[in-house]
Amino acid sequence: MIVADTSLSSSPRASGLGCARMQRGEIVAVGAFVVTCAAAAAVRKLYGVEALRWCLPAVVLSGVLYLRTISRIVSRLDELQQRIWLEAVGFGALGIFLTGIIYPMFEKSGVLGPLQPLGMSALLVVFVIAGYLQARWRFR
Amino acid sequence: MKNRLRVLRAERDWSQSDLAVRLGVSRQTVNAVETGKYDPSLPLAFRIAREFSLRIEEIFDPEDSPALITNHLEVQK
Repeated sequence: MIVADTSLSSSPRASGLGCARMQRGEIVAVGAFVVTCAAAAAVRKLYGVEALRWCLPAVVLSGVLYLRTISRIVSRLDELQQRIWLEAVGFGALGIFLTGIIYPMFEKSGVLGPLQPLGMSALLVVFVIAGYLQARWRFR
Repeated sequence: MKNRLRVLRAERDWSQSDLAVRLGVSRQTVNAVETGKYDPSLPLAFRIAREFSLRIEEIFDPEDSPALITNHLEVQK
């Protein structure tokens, strides 16, 4: 009978726990996005919309870097974590889709005001977190 | 899908974390597979089998397969 090797085998996919830890470059990319957005908001407030136009390429570039970073982090997750995140994002997308259908009814009835882009983003985050918690609970 | 992962792990005195490190996945994944809440992908099933030096069908048992086959045969009749 073949006995399994008792030494811990190293895996290139995951460093021990199979969880994705952020590398230094990724932390820098996320930080750069946050700083760029904050700087753009400050420029708009201090110098007006004309000055903001000069900041937009930096915001777009850091946004692309941010997306690439998130994509890399997700690709390093193990399959269950990927499944959980996939369900969370799907839940978020469906939630926003349904909101897009239902919200105009509330708006027309005068119950709620127009939905701002920031409000939409906040709703997306709430839906994704709800989806994540729900999926995580199921596979607990 | 039923599996003998917990028993095999206990025989080798491995914790869920030990097995998770060996497989390169999180402990949550090992737990979810053990409790049958999550069916592993084929590559992960092969990795598990290799880790225990067994065949996949010696670890995982598709409990509903016979019933499915029976139902399929009944439908065909």
